[in-house]
Amino acid sequence: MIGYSLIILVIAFLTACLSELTLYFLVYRTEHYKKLKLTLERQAKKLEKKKESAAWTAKPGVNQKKKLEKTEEKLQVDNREINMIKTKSMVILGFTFTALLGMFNQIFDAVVVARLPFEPIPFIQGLTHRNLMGSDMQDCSFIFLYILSTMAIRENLQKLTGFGPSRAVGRLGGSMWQPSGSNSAGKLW
Amino acid sequence: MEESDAVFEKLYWIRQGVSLVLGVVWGAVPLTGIFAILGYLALISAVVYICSVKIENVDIEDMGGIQEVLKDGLMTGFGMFMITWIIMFTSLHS
Repeated sequence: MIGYSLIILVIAFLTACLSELTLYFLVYRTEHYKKLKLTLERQAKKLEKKKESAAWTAKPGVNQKKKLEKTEEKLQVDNREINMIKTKSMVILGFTFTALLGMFNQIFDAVVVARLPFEPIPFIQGLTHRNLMGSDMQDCSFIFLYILSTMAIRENLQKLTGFGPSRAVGRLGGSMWQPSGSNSAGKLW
Repeated sequence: MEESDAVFEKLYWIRQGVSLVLGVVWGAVPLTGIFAILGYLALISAVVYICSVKIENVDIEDMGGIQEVLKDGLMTGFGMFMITWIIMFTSLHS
């Protein structure tokens, strides 16, 4: 059983690597993306400084407020553009890896790949016990272990390779650039 | 802000490392059930809080409040803990 678990861990690591590598060739290394990312990070930092200084002023002037709003708007437009660039590649990756996941699902069909040290709540039993025979809910299916592995590996890999989202831009909120586990937890790829 | 970003980054990796170690220990002992998960969450929150306040000497409010500090990297750390816990438990106790 432990052999299956380790194989799934390796599969999750390799798919995460493959996904990042594909994104690197399709997105990260393009001049347009690099330029946009740099501008966005600079602007986000500038905006934060401006906001801080405005917070120290007792009554920020109308001009100052307008300037802040203008910078914020520009930042959001750039942010949207950079998200669009990424989204296109993510869709392609999504299709590719869904097919790959289907293949692994077939390989590990009805195979108990690990033993869970807890009884899963009924809400997630559909995942933990997917395609498994028997009624022992502590038996773990491929998909649950794969999701957990991806959850643990993907963001760390992005951070290590330096392709993770910038925190300054992430603080703008409401985007796929949001740093930390807040957005990537549910992502399979 | 750049200073707090550096602290956030350090805390992120501390969380990952501690989660990995706790996963190995929980799986080896073995601790099981929902209380083991709750125990992990309580312990990791305490570790991150203590590291930020006592070791890094940062003002929590400057970093966006206690919530921001505690939730940064939470899901990745939780994933790391779960995977090491399950694999250790599977290899030693099944």
